Amino acid sequence: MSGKWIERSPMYLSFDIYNCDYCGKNIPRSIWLETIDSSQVPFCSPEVAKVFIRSRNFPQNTRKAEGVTGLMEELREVRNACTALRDRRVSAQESKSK
Amino acid sequence: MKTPDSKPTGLKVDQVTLTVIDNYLSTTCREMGIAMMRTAYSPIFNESLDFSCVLFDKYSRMISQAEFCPSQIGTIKFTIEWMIDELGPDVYKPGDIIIMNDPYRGSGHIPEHTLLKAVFHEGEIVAFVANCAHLAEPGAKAPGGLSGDATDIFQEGLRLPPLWLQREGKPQEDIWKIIFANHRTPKTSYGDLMAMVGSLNVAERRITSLIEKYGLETYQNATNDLIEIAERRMREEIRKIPDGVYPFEDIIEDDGVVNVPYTVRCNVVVDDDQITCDFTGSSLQAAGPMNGTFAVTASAVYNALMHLTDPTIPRNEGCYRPIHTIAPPGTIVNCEFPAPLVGGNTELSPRITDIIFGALAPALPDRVPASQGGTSCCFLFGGAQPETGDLYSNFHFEATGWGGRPHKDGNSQIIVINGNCRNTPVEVFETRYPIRVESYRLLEDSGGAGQNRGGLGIERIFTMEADSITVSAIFNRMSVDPFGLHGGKAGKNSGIYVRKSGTTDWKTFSDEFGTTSPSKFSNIILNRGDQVKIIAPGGGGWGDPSLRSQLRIQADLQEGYISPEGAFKDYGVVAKCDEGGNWKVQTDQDGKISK
Repeated sequence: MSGKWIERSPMYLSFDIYNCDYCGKNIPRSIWLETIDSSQVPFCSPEVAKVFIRSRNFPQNTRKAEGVTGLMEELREVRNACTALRDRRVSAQESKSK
Repeated sequence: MKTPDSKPTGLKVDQVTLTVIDNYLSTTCREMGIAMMRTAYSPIFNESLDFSCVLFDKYSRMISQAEFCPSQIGTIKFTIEWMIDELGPDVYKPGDIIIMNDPYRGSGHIPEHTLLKAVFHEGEIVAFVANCAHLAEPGAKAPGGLSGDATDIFQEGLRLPPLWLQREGKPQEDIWKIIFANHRTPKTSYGDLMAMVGSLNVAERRITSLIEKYGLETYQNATNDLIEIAERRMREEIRKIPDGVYPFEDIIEDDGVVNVPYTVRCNVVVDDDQITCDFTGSSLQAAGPMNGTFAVTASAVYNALMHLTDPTIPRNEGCYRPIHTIAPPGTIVNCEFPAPLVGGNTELSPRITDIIFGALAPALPDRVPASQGGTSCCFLFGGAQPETGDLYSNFHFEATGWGGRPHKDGNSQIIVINGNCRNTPVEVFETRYPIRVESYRLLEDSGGAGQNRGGLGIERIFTMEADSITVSAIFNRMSVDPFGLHGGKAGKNSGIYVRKSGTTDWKTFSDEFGTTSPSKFSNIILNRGDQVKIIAPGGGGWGDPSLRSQLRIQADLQEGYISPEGAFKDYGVVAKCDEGGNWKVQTDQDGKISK
């Protein structure tokens, strides 16, 4: 494992939420950047990064076991899902207003 | 007092002193709660005890808690971490008190306000003391705060980032003014917030006195040791669970805005001495307020695992360390700003706890209960007092049946597992609000049949005694059953119905008022004489009902927990009552039960 803590300043005019790329936890200030297969992946703590790295080799884990590529695919799916969610929220509100 | 020979390897303080300090800290948390209970203005404080009191060390690691509200105890870990992280570690002065309730900064939902105070010793911070409490009025669009059809966080109340409520012992009047200008019941909110302030002062005095008695070094070593012991013991507990992946899922039936079900899916991964609860595959976040934040989901996971492991493990940072939660952003278990979420802490949280129970049932068949009723049955109301015109606002929640257990029946009429609160006595309720309680009873046949029966739910009927009362609700389990385990049957569903004055039929709020959901709505105006019927669900049964003994079925009949029809339908037995009023299951000449 190799990683480092980075700090972000809290914003007041724009309220940005940063989530751990693995567990989803909201990160208030300190982000653990882990280098995995030459990519930098943000985590909420080195412990979670360790769980992730170990879980890649855990055969029955529900997360994709193909390593970082699989994880990135999965995250893309989540982001696509969020876009779909926004669309759905709009249509829900539209149907309510009708 | 020190007995160095009794120290386990690696610990710096002897076990006797450790035990004394551990008990002192948890007693301090209890005393904080009692201070709030006795001094707050709202029944949700002094009757329901919907608050929690927690101590942290200077590194914001939890060092002690008391047995108050599990969902708050779990989330406050994240709340305090966020508050200290956002403000920075060096900004506090003696007498400062910080307030925050923002769910997107680690709080459970907007009504739950967290107060934080740093404790100093010789000019240095040595601890943080905190409490979290549910204010009955947070300034939401609906009186009582739980807007069942909210479509964003801004409809759920006044959102407070970390702010100084008090600086060096002096109230920050600007902040108080903003809060009170946004609450329907400022006097009540003032009394409740001041009770929280008093509770922090109690804790500050106790921590100071502890350090004066034992010295700073012993205090710090003891808290470090207690965290280490808790972690070690929790890891030992987890190691007893067979390694593997245990999947389970359940349904949130709708969200108050759109009538679609949401799946909450979890794979509990037991890996040696650690557990990861992975919610990947759960539904996208809801349009209505049934979402949870990461803190709510993680808190529910902690809650479930604390129920399944040794209750004597010190409850501090250490026991949480081996437990991990994965909750993908944008899903119902980790919604993204500004999604509505006020019902997540009352409805999603117990559902997650039950899901963890369901998942681990095959691994821990001797410990895991069936599903509890699993809804807080949140009934909110507000208006003006008929005599005085003063505004009032209240959050009423109802107790449900809990699931049958491997060794005995489920408890009846217990507040939901994430709350651990008490119900409000009818006398207090009727004194404070213009609503009469017509009836309040255990509901026969509501507990799921099983070798060990689920606990019973209740039925309560209210009559409105003011010309105009605004009501809202967030219920769940109205169409999705509380599940049984190992062949046990499901518990009965929840319900909330209305009967307008002068009519005879009970109707759902959807049928009477056209609400999107029959169980989640806000700001319905009821009039004098209108009635509301609340049905709280029963718990699921545990084990095959055919294995329940004749004597226990008879006892259930005798107590009115089941009806003779229910005995026949659920247990397949014929029962008759003799002239003395004693129920007996019929048997043939060979003593076999008639079926």
